[in-house]
Formats: sequence, C-alpha cells, structure tokens
Amino acid sequence: MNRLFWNLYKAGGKRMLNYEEELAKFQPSLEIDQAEEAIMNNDLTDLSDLLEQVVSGKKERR
Amino acid sequence: MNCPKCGFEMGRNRRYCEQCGADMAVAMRLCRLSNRYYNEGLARAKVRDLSGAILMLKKSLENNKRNIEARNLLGLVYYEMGEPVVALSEWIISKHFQPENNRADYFIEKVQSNPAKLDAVNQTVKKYNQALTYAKQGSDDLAMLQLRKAISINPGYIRALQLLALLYMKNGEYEKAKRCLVRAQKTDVANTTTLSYLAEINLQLNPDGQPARQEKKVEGMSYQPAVTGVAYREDKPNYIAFITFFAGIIIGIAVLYWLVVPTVRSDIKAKYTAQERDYGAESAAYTARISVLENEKTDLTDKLKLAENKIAELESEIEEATDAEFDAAGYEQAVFVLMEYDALAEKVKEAEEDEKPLTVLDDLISYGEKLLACENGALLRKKTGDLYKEVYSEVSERVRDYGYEHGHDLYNDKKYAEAVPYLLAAYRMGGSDADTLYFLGRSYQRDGDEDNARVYFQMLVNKYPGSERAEMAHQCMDGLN
Repeated sequence: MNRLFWNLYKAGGKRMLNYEEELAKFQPSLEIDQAEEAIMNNDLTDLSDLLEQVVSGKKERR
Repeated sequence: MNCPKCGFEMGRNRRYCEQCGADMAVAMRLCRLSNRYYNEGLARAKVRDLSGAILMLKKSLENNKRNIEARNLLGLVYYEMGEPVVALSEWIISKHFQPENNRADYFIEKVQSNPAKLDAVNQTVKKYNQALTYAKQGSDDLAMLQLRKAISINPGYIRALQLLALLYMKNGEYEKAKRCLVRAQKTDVANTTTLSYLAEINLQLNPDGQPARQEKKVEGMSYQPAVTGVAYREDKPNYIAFITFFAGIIIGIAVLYWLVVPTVRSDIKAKYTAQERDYGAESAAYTARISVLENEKTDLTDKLKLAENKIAELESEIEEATDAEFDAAGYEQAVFVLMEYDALAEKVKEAEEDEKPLTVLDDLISYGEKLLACENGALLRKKTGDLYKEVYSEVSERVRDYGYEHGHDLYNDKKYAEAVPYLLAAYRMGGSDADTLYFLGRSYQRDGDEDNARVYFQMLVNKYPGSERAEMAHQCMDGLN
C-alpha cells in the first residue's frame, strides 16, 4: 500500500517523493571507533597533486 | 605559501620557488581559487547554509588541501550538523598539515575534554545507524523509536531529523514530519533534502494546489538564513512597566502596613505582656520570700539575743561556780527556803480570800525570819537573788501590815508581852515607820523592858525628829529611869 501510494503520480504533474529512493540516499554516520579508519582512507589529493602527476607523467613519456 | 614541489616556505607573490625553482604561477592561482571558495563557504556558514558551506569548503580543499582555515571550518560545520567523527577527522588532518599554531587544537581539546558528552554524541550516531537498519528492514516503529532517542540527545542532528521526517511522511504523519524538518532547517537553512521534504509536506497538506503561506515564504527566501531579521522598531521606554512596578511596590507596602504590621505588633505586645506577667509573678514571689526571710531574721535575732543572754548567765554561773569563796551551803539553804514559798503563798491566798489573814500571820513571820537568814545565800546567784527579792517583797509587806495590826490590837488590849513579837516582826521586815517604832517602844516599856524601849524610842527620835511620835517618845524616855 505504501509502495503504491509513494509511486503514484497525480494529474497535474505533482511531484511525490519515492520513499525507497530517499531512504537509499541515507548513509550510516561514522562512529568514534571508525575515526582512525576514516582518517587513513581520506583522499588528500588536490589539484596541485593532480597537476604534478600530469606533469611528471609527461616528463616520463618524453 | 609553501612550494608544492619541495615544500619550501616562500615569500608572497614569488613566481618561482627559491629552493627548487618550480613555477609557482599555477600553485598561486590554485591558492587564490581555494581561498575564494573558502570565503564563499564561510559566508554560507555564517547564514547557516551548512550544506552550501560544505560544498564550497570541499571545493576549496580540492584546490588546496593545505588550506587550514577551510579544513577547520569544514570540521566545525560537520560538528554542528551532528557528525562528530567526520569533524574530528578533518581537524586531525589539519593538525597533520600544520602542527603548530593551529585552531584545530582548540576544537579537538574542546571535544575530548568532555568524554561524557562525546560518548553521548557517539550514542546518537549508533542509534541513528540502528534506526537506519530498522527502516531498511521495514521496522518503522523501531526505527522511529531509535531516532527520537537520538534527537533527544542531539537535537541538531540533521540526518536523524530528516530520516524521522521521512518515516513520519511515509506513515501519513505530516505535521510531525514538518516539525522535525523545521528543527532541521534551524540548523541548516538551505539543506536540499529538508527543503524537498517540506515542499512535499506542503503539497500533501494543501492538495488543492494553492500554495501554502509557508511555501510562499520559503519560495522567496530559500537561501535566506532561518533566523530572519525582525522589522526594525525603535526601542521605546516601557512606561507601563515602570508604573506597574512602582504601583506594585506601593500596594505591597500598603498591604504590609495594614495587614502584617498590626499582627506583628499584637504578637510582640502579647509576648511582652506575658513576659511582664511572668516578671510580676516572680517579683511577687520574691517579695513574699523577702518578707518571710525578714520575719525569720527577726526571730533569729531575738533567739540570738536570748542565747547571748543565756550564755552570759551561764558564763556568770560558771564564774561563780568556780569562785573559791562561794557559799554552797548558804545557797542551797536559800534554794530550799524559796522552794517552800509556793505552799505558804497558797495558804496565805486562801486566808486572804476568807478574810482571815491573821491565821497565817505566825507562818508568815516564821517564813520571814527564814528569808532574812538566807538572804546572803540567795543573792549568790542572780536568778535566786531575783526570786528572793520577789518573795521577800510579798512576805515582808504582809508581815508589816498584819504584824503591826495584830500587835497594835494586843497593845490596846494591854497584852504588851504578846504584842512585842508581832511589832518586832513588823519592824524587822522593814516596818520602820514612826507608829511601829512608837508602839514597839511602848510595849517594851509597859512590859517592863526599859532598855529595849529606850532603844526604839531613840530610833524614833533620830529618824523622825520633830514629829508627834518623836515628841511622845521623848516624853516616854523622860519617864524611864
């Protein structure tokens, strides 16, 4: 019933939320004991690093 | 800024690195871009557009990962949204890039200094994760229960509020969902998820298509801060409040004066009256006690005087008793003589009542002789001396009167020899008046005892010269040989 209700489109093009889709957007939050892992997995590459990699790659190809 | 290649700390506006010679144009441009994004993120964070601030700050860090200010602000925004672990990770990374003189130290210390709160926030995260699991399993009630607990601990937890709102919306509880979303909007005014849910709720609550009042507000102010400014009004002094305040004070004072003060006064008065009564009773008791004590003092003073007198008597008696010349036999005899007077007095009293005093005259004369004989012994003691004087006075008076009367009667009856003893007794007991002396002399004379007659006549003349009896005594002596 809920699925039917959430997936119906009324006349006039009124939007309605898709519960399943919205629910899927929610991700679990990090807990304290997961902090170390999160920090270690954090990608700290910025544009400077990318440019450096690109420049280094060009030099090697030469 | 630091050289991105070798890390050398360069001066500002340097085109090439002073150490490695790397071209700094791109790096400087990226830095400027990063700072621009940081400024945009800061502006959004100031108006509580946290979602927008996160986007800008992430872009800032994409251009320059070493932008410490952007990373610290990003951590702060995450913390405000109820994501403490993500915030801590950003601060720790910030410290990695800049260990010294970093604001992240303060943030980290602030979070870690309250372990209880940190644990509570961690619990909210766990509850949220558990609720998410329940929701995906279809257990909406359990999920909502966990979410409500999490929100009660951390009311600004955006994700928990949004998930709870979604569950409410699924169950048709749009009002409750709206309340959750409004709370989330207070923390993050332009969160797209919150805004889309609110739009959905408004759609459901107003199915006729008419825009809701709230929708109008939101449409025109989607990127406005949640806390809108109030229309400007100049502060006017609140006269009513002042007047009410002072009126209250005056009324309070009046009530105090008319109700409380009389009661207090009457209580105080009653208290002092009771105290006065008690003091009066005590005073009366003390006065009575003083009176009793004064009487006792008077009695004791009298007793003391008696005792002192007694002591004086006893001391004199002791002194007399110890006197070597004390005539004990004479004193003893006087005591015996005085002891005989009671019986004689009783006899004399009966005779006088019968008007026959002469019947006891001989006894009186005999007793009087005894008194005269024991006079010295009686006077050895004050007590016996006083008694002796008293007894002698009574006896001698009777002997004088009755002895003279009876002797005079016998003289008139010419019984001169019988008259002499009575007149003599009267004389010996103090009757040395002229008549007694005269008739005693005459009795002796008529009895033939001229010597004794002459003695008493001469005594009369010597004692009463010029009196008639003395003249008669002269004549009588002339008639003697």
